[in-house]
Amino acid sequence: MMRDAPQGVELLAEARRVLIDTVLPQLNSDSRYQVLMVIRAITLAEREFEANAETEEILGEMLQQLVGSDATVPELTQLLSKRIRNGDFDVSDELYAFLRRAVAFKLKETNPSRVGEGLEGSPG
Amino acid sequence: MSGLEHCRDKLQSWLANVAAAEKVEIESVKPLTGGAIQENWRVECVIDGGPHSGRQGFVIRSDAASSVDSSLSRSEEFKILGVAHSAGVTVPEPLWLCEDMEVMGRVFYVMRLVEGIGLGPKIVKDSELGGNREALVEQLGRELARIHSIRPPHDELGFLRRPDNHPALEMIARLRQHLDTLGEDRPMLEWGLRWAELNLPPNPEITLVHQDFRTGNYLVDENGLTAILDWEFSGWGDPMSDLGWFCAKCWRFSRPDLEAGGIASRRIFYDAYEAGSGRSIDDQAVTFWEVIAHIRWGVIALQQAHRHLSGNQQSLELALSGRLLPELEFEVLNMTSPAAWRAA
Repeated sequence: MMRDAPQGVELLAEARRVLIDTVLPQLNSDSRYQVLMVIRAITLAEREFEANAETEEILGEMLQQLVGSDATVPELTQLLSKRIRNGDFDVSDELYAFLRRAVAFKLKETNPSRVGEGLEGSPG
Repeated sequence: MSGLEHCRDKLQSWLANVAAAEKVEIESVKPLTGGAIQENWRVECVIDGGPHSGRQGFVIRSDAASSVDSSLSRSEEFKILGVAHSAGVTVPEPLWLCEDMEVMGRVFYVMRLVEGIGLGPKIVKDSELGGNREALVEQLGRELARIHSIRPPHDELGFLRRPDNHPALEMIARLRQHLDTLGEDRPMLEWGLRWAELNLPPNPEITLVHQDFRTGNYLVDENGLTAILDWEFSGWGDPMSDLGWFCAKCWRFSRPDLEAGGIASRRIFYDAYEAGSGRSIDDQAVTFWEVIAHIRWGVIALQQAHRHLSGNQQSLELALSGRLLPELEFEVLNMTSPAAWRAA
């Protein structure tokens, strides 16, 4: 479906700007905390829009290879979790590399400043 | 009276009775923030007659509407607070417990009001708070040593269960059970739990452990520590677990470089603890418990997010807890690489 501009992600960015520049400076500490949480929520939603679909796909493929099945991602995640608990992946470099990439993907949305810490390369 | 209006008269006559006073007049009641599990009120009153005669400030602590399992009841917490107070731990003096549901409709207890600031990020950021930072951490080390001087069996703490197995194994089982109850499939946390299972520290001596001893759960004023709070998770366990929780990166807030709770160096904290307890710290055990700390905080964050997601308690703060996981999982992975695992 075609939408009119601006797009949702642009609207979120503008809403966040208004909160930071206009609303926040006028607030007492209690309401300030509330609005800071709203800004946090908007920021997370914005970064979800910007998330790299390609990385998500690669992660899905890695997961399929690890588990050896082409089930859905939630099913694979469940299977993998069980197998880790059972000891099937003890000291596994392959699994560890996958887990680090998967964390890096999520961290890009929640705290991008930490993604640089050797996460995407080989396990450190 | 902000939540206590319905029972003001009953509360006043109950207070008069336990304080051996002729009359108690409640002047103000203010809800205190920071209790997802309990509800706390700051109560100012005027007591006429008896040993507490005069203007007094108290905190009343009761169960909240939705309580979290695996935490103590208010009457158990009251008893632990009493034991800690007698052992010389800096806690608000517990005064009276009320188990008569006629008074407030819930069990509650009264403790002496202690002034201070508790918010973790603020304490870490504002170095004017808490007096000299090194002295503050030294005191926290000595306080923890005093808590760990309380050992089973203990006449007043008979309600606390002694661990049947290694306390770490019990913790691992409990965390897995919580994940299963939530229906959460978390490969990173499972990896950390499996690492923990295969890298247990030696069997510890068992002491009282606070289990939530961290920056954010004690009060400071401009001179230093005024009270250690939030005893609802305490029980018998491995004393090294409290050191791991206190030093875990997730509780250092904006100062990850200050390894003792974002306040000062780990060495200062350890030295004070060792001097106070006469016990040597097992570095590897503390590191082990730091891994567990991030997993445990991750599981609690998931529980908080679920309280919002289930519709039981709509809250943006609880909702955002769900997005704390990546950083916690990141720390777990950093501490449990296959290389480190092989070297152990």
